[in-house]
Amino acid sequence: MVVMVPGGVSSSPIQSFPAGNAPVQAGVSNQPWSASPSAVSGGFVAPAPTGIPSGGLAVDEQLDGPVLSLLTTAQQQQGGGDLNGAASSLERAQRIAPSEPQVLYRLAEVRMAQGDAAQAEQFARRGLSYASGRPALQASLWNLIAQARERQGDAAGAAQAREQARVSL
Amino acid sequence: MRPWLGWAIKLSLVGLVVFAVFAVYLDAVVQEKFSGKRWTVPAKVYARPLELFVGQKLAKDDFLKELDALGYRRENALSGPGGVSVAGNNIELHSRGFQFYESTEPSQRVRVRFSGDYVAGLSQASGANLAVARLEPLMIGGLYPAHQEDRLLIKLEQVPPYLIETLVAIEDREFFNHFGVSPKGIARAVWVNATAGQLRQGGSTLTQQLVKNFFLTNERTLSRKATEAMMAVLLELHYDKQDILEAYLNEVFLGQDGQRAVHGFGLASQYFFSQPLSELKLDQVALLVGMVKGPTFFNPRRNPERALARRNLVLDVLAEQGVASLAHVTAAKQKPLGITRRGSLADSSFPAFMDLVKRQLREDYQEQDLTEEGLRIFTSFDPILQLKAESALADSLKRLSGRKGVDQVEAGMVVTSPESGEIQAVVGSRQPRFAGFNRALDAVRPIGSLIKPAIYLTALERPSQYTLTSLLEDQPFSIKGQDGQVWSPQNFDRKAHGTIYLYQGLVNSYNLSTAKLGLEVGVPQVLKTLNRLGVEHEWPAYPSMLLGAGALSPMGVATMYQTMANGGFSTPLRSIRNVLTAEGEPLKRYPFQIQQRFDAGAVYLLQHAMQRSMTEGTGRSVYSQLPRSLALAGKTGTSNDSRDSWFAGFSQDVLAVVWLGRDDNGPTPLTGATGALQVWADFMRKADPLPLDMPMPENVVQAWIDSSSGQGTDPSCPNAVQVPYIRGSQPVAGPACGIQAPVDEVMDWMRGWLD
Repeated sequence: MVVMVPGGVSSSPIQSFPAGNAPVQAGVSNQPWSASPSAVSGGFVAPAPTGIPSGGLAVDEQLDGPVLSLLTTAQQQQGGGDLNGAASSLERAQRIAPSEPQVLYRLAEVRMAQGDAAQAEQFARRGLSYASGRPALQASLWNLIAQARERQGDAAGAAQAREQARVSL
Repeated sequence: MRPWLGWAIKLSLVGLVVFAVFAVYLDAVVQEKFSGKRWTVPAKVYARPLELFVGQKLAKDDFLKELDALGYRRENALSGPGGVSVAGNNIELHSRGFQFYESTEPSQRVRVRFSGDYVAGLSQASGANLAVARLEPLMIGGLYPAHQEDRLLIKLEQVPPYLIETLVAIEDREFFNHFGVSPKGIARAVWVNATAGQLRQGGSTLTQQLVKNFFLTNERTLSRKATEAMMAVLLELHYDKQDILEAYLNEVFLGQDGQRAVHGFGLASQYFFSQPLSELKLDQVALLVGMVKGPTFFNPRRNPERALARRNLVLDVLAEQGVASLAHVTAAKQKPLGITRRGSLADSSFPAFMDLVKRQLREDYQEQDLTEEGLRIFTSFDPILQLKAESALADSLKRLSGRKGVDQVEAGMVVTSPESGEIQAVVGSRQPRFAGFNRALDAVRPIGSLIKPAIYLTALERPSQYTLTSLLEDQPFSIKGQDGQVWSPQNFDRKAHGTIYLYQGLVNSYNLSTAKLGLEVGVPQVLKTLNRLGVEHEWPAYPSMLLGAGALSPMGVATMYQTMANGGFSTPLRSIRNVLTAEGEPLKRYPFQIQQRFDAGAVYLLQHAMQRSMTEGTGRSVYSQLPRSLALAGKTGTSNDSRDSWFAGFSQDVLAVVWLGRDDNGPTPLTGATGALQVWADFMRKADPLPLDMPMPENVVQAWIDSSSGQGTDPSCPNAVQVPYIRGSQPVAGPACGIQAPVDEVMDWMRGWLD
């Protein structure tokens, strides 16, 4: 999913991931989050643009003021390899807008990048509980859950989540 | 003659060598201490920074209170960082900027517009839009070793105008000209002492004072004086005046705060004015410099008249010596001392919350790291909510004080954000300023009916067996428990209520039907639910546990209710967000973690019942204080003989647990409803929270039922009420009633025709 960010920031490298066999480096902050490939498939599918129109957020996905600003900051921090900073900024956004599923989605993404697939799944699930009536976002969240489950070695659960992602749309 | 002279020469040579060796030794001492880390600094603990953004719920008065606590000056036109001007609902301020874990907040001029209790506008002074801004966080304490020095290190660039000039004018006029000792100063001191007939004046230079504090003891002997002079000269030899001055500003003792010694102008400025040193004005500078001579004697909090006289004397000297203009000095002398009140927000200590923070820190750090490394600890503490919790407790107990025995009642209270799991306020005692037994954390007491939601949640997780409108028998019964005891629960009103709906057992806190339900689902299952809610316990699976014989602290209860408030997601409660080193490097984070423990649908139904507790059940007195539109969920708890009065409940954004009881576990005149609930309601009124609004999970449907029969019905029928069910467990909808019916039939006919 693409968070709508102003200026040229939206072209930051958050959406593409070189496959590779680099070791899982939880918490290592000088690498973008592509540094944690799936142990199962040797490279995981980008969760990013699934289901969201590529031109940015759908109308109902557009965020305003403080949340957008903090998500943008978090994205820049993540792009610069500062995952802890990104997570902190997202938690700040979560305190401001606790029931905004996009914030939870991004938190899940960053947890994933930090190598914590279990928490990534939990945050995505929490995001789903607030994503009623937002099918594109639901699909993205389910896809993220699928990846998190895959990473945790739960292939059947991952398949189920992918199916959920498909029927959400 | 000759041999005597020879001996004299030899002896002086020896003396010279001894002196030289001593000098070399002193030199090593001076350099060693001065070149390394000069001070150890206790860790500083900060409250949450107040966030500002459009749409934020924030009362203007609370905002101004926070600004006052942060030492903002009320001004007509902003003069720099730390200034604020108020014009009705428009507030303009110049923030100071602060380095946080995730980013640095710039110092900037910000305009805030209030409307009602909301922030309606936020912009920069230029008019440019500002999405979000943070104030500096309030410092709420530190981790001081017993009987130790505390300081806020400052650099020479951070000192306000006049500080150096005033210090030099008052303490050491020759500072920039002498080489460590001042012959002129000594001559003056000798004259004063000789005429007084006793040691009165030291004639010490700033360098000597620094040496004395830094390297030597406090005795007043000639040999120590000589050593001090030698070291002062040595210090000047190796270091320049700026270095020595900076060290002096950080070293000097300026006050005693209980066991903590206030050292340096940086901390003194915060301690007396709640302002950063750089913002001090002439009158404030004069007061602090005047105190150097006798920090206790001239303590402005204890001896305000003396301090004022001293300050004005200092100001006169400044005018005399041309450091400041006469007009400026005259204006400064008109000002009050301007010392912040002890016990106001800025200066209060919050021992119960600090206790919680320290316990966490001691799990993760060595004591020495905490007391010496100058760590910056960022917490979730909300001073606004804390003060509201404290005053709710004080006000409510005052109202209840007519009842016999209320005087002996103690209290514990915990306030959290259910959406983030952050602890925002902790009250550990009726006297919240005094450190001592922290009841919020350590009063582990039987929770009474607070256990009941766990029983109903266990049942509601089995929608094929239980719905909110399942029928329960509220009848007396006895069973023999595993412990061999015969157990015969009673209702609080000692009456049986016959056949009731399941939710009514919780809403009215009936013991008979609830215990029966608990036995049906199984005591071990209920205790397991409690574990899943986040409560660590080792309670035996006795039936009496179903009515709350098990004991928890208010913090334990908060953990349990947190999970119910947060849609079935459990989160470990946290008080610390993150930690920075003294240099501002990120050190540790305490991340937000969640885990889904319950089906959201079951929790939704439980919340529905807990909301009805507030509107029609044991918690209904809450709405004599609060508007009906404020949806709240909660539960009363009372242990045997009213030894414990509990209330736990939540809105969308605030969760609070209140315990009242006696330290000696004696009976009180208070039930959960007449005691703890009153405190809780008063707190909620002050906190003005958002109504509970859990999104309806996809597996939940609202169905219309006839409130008298529990059968499915239609909204057009009398007694029709809406109740949520897990999809598939709802009763079949009944036919429509009254004149609506034909209309519907016509519609059906038309639909059929159109198809």
